[in-house]
Amino acid sequence: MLGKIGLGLLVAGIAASGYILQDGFVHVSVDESTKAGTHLHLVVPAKLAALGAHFIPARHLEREARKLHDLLPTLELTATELAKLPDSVFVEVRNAEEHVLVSKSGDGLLVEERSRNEHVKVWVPIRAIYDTACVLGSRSDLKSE
Amino acid sequence: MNLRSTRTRWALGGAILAVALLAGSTFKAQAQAPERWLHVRIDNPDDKGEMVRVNVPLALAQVLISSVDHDQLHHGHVNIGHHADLNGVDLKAMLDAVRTAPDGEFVSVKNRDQDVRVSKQNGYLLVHVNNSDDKRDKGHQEVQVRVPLAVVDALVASSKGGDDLDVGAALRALATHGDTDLVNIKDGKQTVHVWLDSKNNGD
Repeated sequence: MLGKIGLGLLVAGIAASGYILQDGFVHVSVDESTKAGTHLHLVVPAKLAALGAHFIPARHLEREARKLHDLLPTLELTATELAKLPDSVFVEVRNAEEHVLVSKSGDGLLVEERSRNEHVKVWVPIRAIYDTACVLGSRSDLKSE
Repeated sequence: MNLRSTRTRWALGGAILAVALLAGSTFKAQAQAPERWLHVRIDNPDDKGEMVRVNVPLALAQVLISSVDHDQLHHGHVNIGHHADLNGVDLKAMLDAVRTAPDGEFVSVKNRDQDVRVSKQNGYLLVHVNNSDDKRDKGHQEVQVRVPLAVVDALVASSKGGDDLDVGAALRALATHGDTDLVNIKDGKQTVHVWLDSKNNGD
């Protein structure tokens, strides 16, 4: 009996992990080159963003709800189009102080900023952007003005 | 059908392989369709070597332009009436006249400080502005705009009035066009280059 319960929990655990990990991970890294600088490296399952979007209280999105709804179809279509593209640099700004890149890298969108004092990298899976947009778009409590 | 017979298994295997190969070649053909990219590059060597590069796939630009319904942009149509002082000029009629006119120079203004020429040549609308004759002068500015007439055509063909431009249709027309330079601006401080090709790196 205990064996069956254990097996059930294991299967449920694997299924839950599979669901949580299906969109990949959001990578955030911040490296400051100063002496007491921050070195932050975060790897978070991207599905958590979509799950979180279910539970953001409507009052926090109330002010922006209409703008958000106008933007959601665009965001969804953008994510779909982005997924079809090869790895590419969309925006690059370079000057003596800093270098900023917005690119598609693998299945994700990479935003990178490099300056004398810091190097910041954020990589978000495109699927997660799409999923989060879909969740926000499907929330009936945000549809009213 | 007896699935246990060797002949049936071979036939089934062959059919599955054929379908897989066919599907594979179809996907490959789709993946190889050339993506058109609009590139913008701004170089400002004076200002500590500042450089800005923007590379936009036209398919993505079309999706964005067509889906946005905000301010003066409505699903690919832009109302320029509020932004441009057209002084009663019907832009649609004007572009339509340019489109249907034979090749030639339409506007030529030349004075001591400026040389402006607007012409139509080999399927392109060309605008050339040259400020200040002396190229060594810091204030010297040269602007060259080269727009395929098919794009001008699309811009006005389904517009909804004199101050409405169908940017979505123009982008679709641009996507079918070959590699081309669209805008070149050079002055004493910076250069701006806008062009279209099928490369995604903008180099």
